[in-house]
Amino acid sequence: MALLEVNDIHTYYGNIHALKGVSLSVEAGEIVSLIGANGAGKTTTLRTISGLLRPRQGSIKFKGEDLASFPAHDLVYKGISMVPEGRGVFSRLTVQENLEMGAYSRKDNIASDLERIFGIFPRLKERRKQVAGTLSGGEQQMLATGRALMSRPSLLLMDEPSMGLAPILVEGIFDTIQEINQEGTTILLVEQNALMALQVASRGYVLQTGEVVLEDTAENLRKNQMVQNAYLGIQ
Amino acid sequence: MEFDFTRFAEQLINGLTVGSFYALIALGYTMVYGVLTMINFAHGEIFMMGAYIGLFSLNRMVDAGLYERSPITAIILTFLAGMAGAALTGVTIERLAYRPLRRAARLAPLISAIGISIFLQEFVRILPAMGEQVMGLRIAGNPIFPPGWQEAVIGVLEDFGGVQVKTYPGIFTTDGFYLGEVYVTYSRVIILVISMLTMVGLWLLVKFSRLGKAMRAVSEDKDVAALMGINVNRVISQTFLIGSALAGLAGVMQGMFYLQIRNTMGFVPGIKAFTAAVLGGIGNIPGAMLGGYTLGLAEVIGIQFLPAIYKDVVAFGLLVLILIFKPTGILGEALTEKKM
Repeated sequence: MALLEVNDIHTYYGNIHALKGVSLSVEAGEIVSLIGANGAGKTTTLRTISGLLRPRQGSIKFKGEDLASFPAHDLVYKGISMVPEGRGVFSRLTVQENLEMGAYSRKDNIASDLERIFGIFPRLKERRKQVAGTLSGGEQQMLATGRALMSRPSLLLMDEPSMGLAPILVEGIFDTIQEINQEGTTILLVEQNALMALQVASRGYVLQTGEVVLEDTAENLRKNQMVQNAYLGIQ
Repeated sequence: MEFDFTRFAEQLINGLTVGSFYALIALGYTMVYGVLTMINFAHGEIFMMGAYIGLFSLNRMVDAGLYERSPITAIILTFLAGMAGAALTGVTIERLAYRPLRRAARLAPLISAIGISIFLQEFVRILPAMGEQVMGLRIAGNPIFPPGWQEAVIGVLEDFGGVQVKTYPGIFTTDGFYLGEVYVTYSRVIILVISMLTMVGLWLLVKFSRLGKAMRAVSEDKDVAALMGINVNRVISQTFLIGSALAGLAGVMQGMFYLQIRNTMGFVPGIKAFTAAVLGGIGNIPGAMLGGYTLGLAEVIGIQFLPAIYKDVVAFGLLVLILIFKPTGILGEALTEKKM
């Protein structure tokens, strides 16, 4: 049984049919990448899985349980956590408060988790008392990632973690993604930076206008002619 | 015009007292604006409901002899009843009149709020008459309710609301003490102390408690707050609960210290407190407190130079000036695109 099973979901924005039957699965321990152009439905897929949007049709199963009846705020208790598009840090809260919000779902002691996050991102420790709105883009990405990890998720959804970051920071972010995965967190990664995404992932899905047009191992996708032309910029 | 320092100092204390009311009510406006980006124009009526429910409870305790036995207990219970009643009113309004409009255009909840404001004013005013009508209903010529009930129910409703001005028993006298040349009544001191302690408590709650942090998170981004596991609707309810309880506190204080209450009493303080919230920076909690006291003081300083009848002109003139020159208020930050 896969950790996450998405089966033929259709999501609408009003009358706009944004997802036209997306199916995908993520096994425990994997990094799976979802690549595609702007407007292909990558973010919509993640927002549907996280419960922020409701599919009109299709099912989402996590650890075998159907998520349809759960509101978004219940999913973190089930073990799903998300780094939202555009990072979504609480800009008027301090770095530390943001991390505490990440652990909102937990009643136990979070001190060791804070230390763990500060271990992965020492910059956050230096700035823990600072208001998050004053952080740089890269630091905000670290904070959003650290915050999502504070709930100790079994599945981490990441939406465009490289967006708007300087190339030198992008590599750091992807190193961190691998590090987090090696510590045991399964990751579903949405990226426009297909090259990097397919380097860290074991498998990938290619989304086009709301449909999965291709799925394969990351290695095969990197070699695929269509993927090379459309997403890797290789002619 | 000769400057009379003693009189001016008395006016300053007066300004701080009035400012306490503005600040307490302004907090409700600003907290609701923080989480919903809407102005709850029925907030003045929540203040009014607090005063009515407080008086009704106090009367019950006077009837039961509790007030005579232990006035302090009765006064504290009156405050708690007024706050609880106002809180219940606020939470119910949000649930029935605002939540269904959460995804509607910005104007819709605003109009709904104005409707609720008129509804509450009229509800309190015509409640006894309404009770009389209902209790007088007949089926096939026979009254539904036995005559004994009629009297009892109408009596209770008349004790609660009605067309006439209602009056709190005069608990607090004009006793006081001299601070130098300046006479300060104990009731003023009590108002200032209760208000300030409440506001410090609120500030601590928002700054340090789990609920306070959740409120701040919801006010920044509801979707991301939900991803953290925060039940956004519940936090919005709790925000209404706290903001309304503060208005209820102000309502009971109004009755206890100024005695007369009426169904329209919420209108002017409501608009003044809204002005205070905008003055301090709408959505900003310390801003609402600062705005409340600033407005209270501005009014009394203004009428040093203008006839007293111009007090409201000073307050609303200030509102116009802020909206023109610093729409984000004293402590407000520039609106981000998301908030717009």
